Amino acid sequence: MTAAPLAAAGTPMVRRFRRRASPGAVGLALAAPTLCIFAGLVAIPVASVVVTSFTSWTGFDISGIGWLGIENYAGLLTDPIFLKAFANTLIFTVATTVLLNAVGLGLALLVNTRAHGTAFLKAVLFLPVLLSPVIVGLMWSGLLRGVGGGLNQLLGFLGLIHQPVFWLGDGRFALAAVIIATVWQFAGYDMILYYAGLQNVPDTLLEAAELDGARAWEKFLHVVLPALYHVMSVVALLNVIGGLRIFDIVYVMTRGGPSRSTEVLATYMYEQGFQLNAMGVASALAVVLIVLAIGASALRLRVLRHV
Amino acid sequence: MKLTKAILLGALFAVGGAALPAQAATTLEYWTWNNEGDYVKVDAAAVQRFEAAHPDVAVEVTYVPYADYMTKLKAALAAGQPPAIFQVPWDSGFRDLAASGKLAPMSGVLANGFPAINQSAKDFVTLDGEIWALPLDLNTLQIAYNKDAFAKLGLAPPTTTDELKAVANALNDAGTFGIALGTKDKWAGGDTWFAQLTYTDPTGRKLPDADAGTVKWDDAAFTAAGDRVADLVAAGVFAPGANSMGAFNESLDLFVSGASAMFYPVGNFISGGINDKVAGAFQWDLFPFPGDAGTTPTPTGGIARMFALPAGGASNDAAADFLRTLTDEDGAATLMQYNFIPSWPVDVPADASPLYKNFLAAQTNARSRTIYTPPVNAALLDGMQAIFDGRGRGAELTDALAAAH
Repeated sequence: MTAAPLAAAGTPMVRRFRRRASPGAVGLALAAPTLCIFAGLVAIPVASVVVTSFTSWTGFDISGIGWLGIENYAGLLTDPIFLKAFANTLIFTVATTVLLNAVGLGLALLVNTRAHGTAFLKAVLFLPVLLSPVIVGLMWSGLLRGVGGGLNQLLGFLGLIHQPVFWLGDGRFALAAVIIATVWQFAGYDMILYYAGLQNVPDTLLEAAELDGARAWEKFLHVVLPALYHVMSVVALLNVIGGLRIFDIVYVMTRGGPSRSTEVLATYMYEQGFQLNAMGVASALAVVLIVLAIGASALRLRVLRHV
Repeated sequence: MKLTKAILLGALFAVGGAALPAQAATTLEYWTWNNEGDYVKVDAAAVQRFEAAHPDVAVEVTYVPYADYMTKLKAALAAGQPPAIFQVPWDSGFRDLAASGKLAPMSGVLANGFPAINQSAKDFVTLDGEIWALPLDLNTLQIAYNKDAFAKLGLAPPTTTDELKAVANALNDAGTFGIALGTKDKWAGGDTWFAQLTYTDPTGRKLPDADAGTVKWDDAAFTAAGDRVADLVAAGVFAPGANSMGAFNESLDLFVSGASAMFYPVGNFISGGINDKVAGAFQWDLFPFPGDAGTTPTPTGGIARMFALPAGGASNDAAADFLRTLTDEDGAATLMQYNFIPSWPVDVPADASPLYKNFLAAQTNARSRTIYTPPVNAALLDGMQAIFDGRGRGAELTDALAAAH
């Protein structure tokens, strides 16, 4: 079977179209179904959000919509809760990205050895990824409970605390607790991506480094790590996007509190849209998130160009 | 062959048709978030009576978690596919909803076959001269206390703030927490402020006037209410970690387990749930959040549950009939059987429980617990979290209220 009979196939109408149409038109025709789906599911909704962000819509009746110009955006700049949520989102994103990469890579190196039981370990470490973030949030809330929580019981048993610590009710600990819960859930995902990347590190390079007398950490630093740069950039980008849009674990564990200490852009967007009926402000927050995500993607491309 | 097939198919349809129960011609979707306490039993009783009286109409009850309720309701309303009957919030979100054009006007409906709703309850659901919801029942918020734990330490329910502090100290000394309160989902923290406002604003006018813009949100009465809560927090009246606990889960668990001897806020809506959880392990009762010596203990309260119909809903007649079932004589009896207070005048049974009589007595002087301006309400709830975190007082709170306005 060759391509020739296929090329010759087709109705007379298709053959006429091929003769007359430019390659661009053919490409457009072929891409049209995908473009329609993209427009319906992504482009139009995003454009609607952008338009809504300039309005005073309450989310009920579209006829009651009012044009505000950039008022919603200007309001955000002077809104202390937005600034807090913005800062928390950045802290959360940077912290989870760094920790997930460090833990994920460490676990990948661990399961990449030929030691007995690594297959089982891989499965166990990946297991939390399969859980719903809501379940993970509830589980960690129980673990971190002030009275009767697992962590306090352990610390009390070890004699490290004598009074219960309310991890999720204390502004000093709450954000860190949510970050740890998130890293616990998704480290297995990063591990799998790094593990896949490690399979592509050429053995010949590692052997050559060994012959040159490189120690284990030198091999890691000068051979393994550079070979993982592309994987690392993809993993980091996924983590950044995941961090920017974090909602469920935060909402279940702290509702953004106490006193906004764990408020992130997505939880604030939810509050504005569905509790305060300010869909315009919520849409402006969504646009901020979109811009941040696009910025992260652009940064990744720029960094990769220099690798 | 064709004939055989036709006979077989006919027989199958006949058998299938006979095996299936008769299908109702209309199904009314009924949304509520109250799956706690005994409301489930009230709903079930009403559905059973309604369906018996209307064999061609079925009611499908959907319990939507409170945290997701407005999200789902708004989406359903915006999509033009609202449920036939839905609970609406009593808090600051109600006015936006009433003004949205998505609710059916209820004045005409309530004038036909419904009991005479109390004027104060009607005022609550009236906007621009129109009634937008049926207020089903009323509640009062008080502090529940473990009678056995109090008796063991020789404590009496406190009637003043100083007595409350002394009771909390005695409990703490005995290794028991004071008032279990969960402010993770924020609203219960706001209720402590409303409770203190009953004493710092004896007129009861400042809250509605501030909503109307004629009193400023940094008024001294509002600041003093915040300060009083901060003082109670500092005095160890509340169990620690309020901000880490949900209003009706972790904090209620503290009370039920005996770790806390008091629990707030308790209204009619949760009394059945407490009874179920305590399961007779100890006796409990209620007292209003006390004020200074010489003041009359005053609970807070308002409408507990209210229901609306969609504007232009195709099943609004049937839906209104279901609401009539909830509010007819049997409906009122069911509400009272489960300690709920109908929002219309009723004859209280002579054998009503002491708890129910307590609720009724408290209702006579209950004060408002609602701010109608959503951003101000949000600022109050945030500010109360800061107070329970030990990082704020009344002045910071009311500055935030004023800024939010």
